[in-house]
Amino acid sequence: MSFFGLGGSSQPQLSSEQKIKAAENELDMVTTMFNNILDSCYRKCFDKSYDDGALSKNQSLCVDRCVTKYFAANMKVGESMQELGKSGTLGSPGVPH
Amino acid sequence: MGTGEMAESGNPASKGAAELGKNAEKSKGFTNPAFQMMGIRRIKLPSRNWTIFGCVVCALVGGVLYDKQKQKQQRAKYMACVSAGGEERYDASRVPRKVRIYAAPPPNDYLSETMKYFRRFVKPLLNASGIDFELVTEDRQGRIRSIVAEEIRKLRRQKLGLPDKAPEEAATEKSKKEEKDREEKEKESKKSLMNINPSFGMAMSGIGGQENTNGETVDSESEKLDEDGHPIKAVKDLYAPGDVLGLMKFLKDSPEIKVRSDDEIEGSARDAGGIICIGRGAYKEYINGVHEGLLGPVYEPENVKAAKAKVIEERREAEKPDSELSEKQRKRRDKQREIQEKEDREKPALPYILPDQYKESDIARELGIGSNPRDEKGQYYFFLEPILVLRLYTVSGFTKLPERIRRFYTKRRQQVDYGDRVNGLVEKKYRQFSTGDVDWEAAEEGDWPGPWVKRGREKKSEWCREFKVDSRVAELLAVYEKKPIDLDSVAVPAKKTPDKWGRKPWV
Repeated sequence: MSFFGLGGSSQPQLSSEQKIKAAENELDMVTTMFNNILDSCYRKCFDKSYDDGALSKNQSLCVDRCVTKYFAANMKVGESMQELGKSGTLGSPGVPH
Repeated sequence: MGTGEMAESGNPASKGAAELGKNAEKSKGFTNPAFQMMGIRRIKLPSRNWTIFGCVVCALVGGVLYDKQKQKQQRAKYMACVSAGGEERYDASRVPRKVRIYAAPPPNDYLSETMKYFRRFVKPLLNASGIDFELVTEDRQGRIRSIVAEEIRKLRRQKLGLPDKAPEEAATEKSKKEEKDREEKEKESKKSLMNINPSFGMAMSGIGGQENTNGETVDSESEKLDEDGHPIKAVKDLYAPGDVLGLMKFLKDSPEIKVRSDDEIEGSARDAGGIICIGRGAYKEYINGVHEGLLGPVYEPENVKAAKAKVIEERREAEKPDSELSEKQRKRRDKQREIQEKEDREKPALPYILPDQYKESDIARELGIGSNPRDEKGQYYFFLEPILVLRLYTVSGFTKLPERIRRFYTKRRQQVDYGDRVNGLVEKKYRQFSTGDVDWEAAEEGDWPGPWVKRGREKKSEWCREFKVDSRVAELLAVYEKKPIDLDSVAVPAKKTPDKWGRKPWV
């Protein structure tokens, strides 16, 4: 039985497509995050006069901390977004804020 | 015509001057018709009262500005003095020395006060000298103690090969597991993110005092499967740094990247890391925590459990019995209980051992402190690292107002005290802990408000009761000494300015 060409035998195929879509989305997300980290930590930590090819201790420490902080902040934001999503104050299109 | 006009206009002016001369004897000041036309009546010296007011205001404002400017210069000097370590060339496979910082708020005040001291006097120096740090803050008395103690207990359990939760507790935990499944998954995802700095995980998960005894035993972790039946693993277990760098796929025979902390390669635990306690209270709690961890039991003892149960029981008794409540009230009460429970979990754990029991108890042998004082990751035990105590100069109370004002205007001297001490830490100037170190920065207790101390004594608070150090534990401790810098002999470093292409250098 199929309604509007969906359902029945085409169901599992669609779900695997959805899986690919989800994987693509995730890859997108990871790439975006990586680029954001790279951008902000680069701007924060590096001397723009480029007088030395190697990293200094301060620079590598700065990068370390910057990435850690980025992840920590990202996690915090994600958690609170989840909370919001659960309580329904976020993303319900019919309800004006 | 022109000369006539001149004469005419000259006449009133000279007349005005003559009047002025007369007026000058009456009221001091100076005026001029041109000024008068512009609306400026009379220029004169301020009166006596205004002079006093002006002097006082200028002195007060000037004092603040002078102090601030001095602080800025001194900070720049200190940073220049310690910056040699930070500018060293550094390999990407190394992780710098890491210091633990325990910060407690001053009595009757907020944590932000302590953080101000940290940000102004400590952080710039650590950043300049290329030392990493991990901050543990306290919002409730006992938190630092419980975190330190729990960390040591965890080390001991690892050495003994015991699970993190006591066996009977783990069993009750298992029955609750279904409802907690979602929560644990979140924890799992947190764990996978925690692979950047070796000990950072502690700060991220462990702040909640009790919370860091999360009940995950070794076997329950391997049980975890995703929806397709594959075991869930942390990212750090799946990939090594070399796998993520695409370049390494081409450079196949390059050596494996192994990230090692500088603290690991040091010859002894005394040279590795370091511990900073900001405030006398934080120092007391840290020392108490070390005692509790080393001398106390590995799992929560019966008397603590009983004390916890008693509190809950008393609370239950104060409530109305079930039969008197309607459906709605019961629901509300259940919700309140849930909130209470959550609060209880956030509270720092009760001490597993009290100072009177130190003597009866045996020091943890399983750690092997004499032979190889390292944990499973190869890091030295943190409690062997030398301690630095920084004094908080906050005073509160109306009667101490003059002292407070004096300190406000001489913050630069406090900065020198801080700077010299932190310099000792940077240069690793340490010595063995001696019995006199119990009174380290005891002068700070004189600043604590009397009523607060009195209340603390009544409640048997950790900060106000007698401070004891066991000789067996004292042997393991070390402290950093001051290493003063003669600031007068250091030139104020030149400000970095944009180069000729207008690019700003990184500060």
